[in-house]
Amino acid sequence: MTVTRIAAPRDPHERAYAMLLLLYPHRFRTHYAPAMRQAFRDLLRDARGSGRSVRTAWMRVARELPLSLAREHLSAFFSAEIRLERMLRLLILYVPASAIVGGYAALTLWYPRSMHQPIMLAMVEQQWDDREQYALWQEIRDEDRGFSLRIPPILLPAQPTETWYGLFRRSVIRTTYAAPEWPETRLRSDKLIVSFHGAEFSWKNVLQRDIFWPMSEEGAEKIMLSSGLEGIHWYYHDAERVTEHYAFPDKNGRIVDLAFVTYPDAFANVLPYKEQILYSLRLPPPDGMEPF
Amino acid sequence: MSTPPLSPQVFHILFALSEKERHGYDIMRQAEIDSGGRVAMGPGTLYGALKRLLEDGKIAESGERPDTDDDDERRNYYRLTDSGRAALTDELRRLDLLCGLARERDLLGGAPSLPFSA
Repeated sequence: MTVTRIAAPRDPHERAYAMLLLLYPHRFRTHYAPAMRQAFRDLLRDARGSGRSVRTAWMRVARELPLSLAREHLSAFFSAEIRLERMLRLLILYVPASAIVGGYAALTLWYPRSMHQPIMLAMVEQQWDDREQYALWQEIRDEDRGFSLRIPPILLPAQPTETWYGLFRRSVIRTTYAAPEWPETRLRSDKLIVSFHGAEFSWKNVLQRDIFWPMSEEGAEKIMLSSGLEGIHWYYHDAERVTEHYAFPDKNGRIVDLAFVTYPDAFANVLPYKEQILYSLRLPPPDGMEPF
Repeated sequence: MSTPPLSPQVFHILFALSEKERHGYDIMRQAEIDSGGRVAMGPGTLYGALKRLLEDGKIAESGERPDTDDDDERRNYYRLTDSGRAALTDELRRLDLLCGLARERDLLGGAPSLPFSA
């Protein structure tokens, strides 16, 4: 193979093309860059001679460059004769590229739900004295953060509420919030932002799902999300407070137990609420109350 | 064993060299003319293909430089080898066979669609 050196080009277009040739593998460049520069010079000459813009020459280069570069780099990698050269090429060129691609893939596998899949957000609805209470349940993605509970403030009665987050299987309550008010939530596009005691959490790709809940015969209620996931809902109470649990399996096979506590005495109209809870615990309803 | 069909670029490079020895830009220009503008290679594609054809022994660098007006000592000239000519012939036979079948099935219509003449 004849290798011919060409003097540095004066034409700015040729100079730019010569710079582009630096992107090719060294060995290929050593052998063919002078001839390629000559061919590009001929392209420019013909374009100018025929009254066309030099843009036509550049368009031809732009169309072929990505594929041509990829092909020559792959070819150089697999045909490198010296093992050391191949290793150096690997280190210098391919390791960073692989790290970026591999890192992204690993992150995708590690946090698939946080990055790509819509968060499954169930809306649990119950009628309490003509008031609606909504809880949003979200699959656990991060053990340190647990899952989120959201009650839209617009639809809620102002009530003292304690909310906590936990994993059912481990029976660990991760965080306990004594909330005088519900968490403040904002829904910006598909991003849910929850401000809670000075901390702010956000989740992307939030979807709302409706649920319906047929009564089971065991006392607790089976609830079913529109996605087909089944869960259990049950209540218990003592003299001061009522505790509700919503337990769902998440996709990792863990049971997510969302529990929240309300203090009915803080309601102006406590009685209907208490009665409903009592009835759901299979105690006879108070006189005059119809089963619901 | 039958050889796989040639890519359009490789086919037109071999086709251009079947006539005479040519330098890189001349091959590009002739391929564009022969293909009716459909195969417009840039220098990267051309020299990548030339490199592989040289490695496969389908073409060789020409030791002699044609005495033409636009000759430049910086240009490399290439010529077709016997192996390259055989590959080109195989491809042309394959295309000929296909064209024959297409004619039998009345797929080609009246006018030729590939202008193989300069």
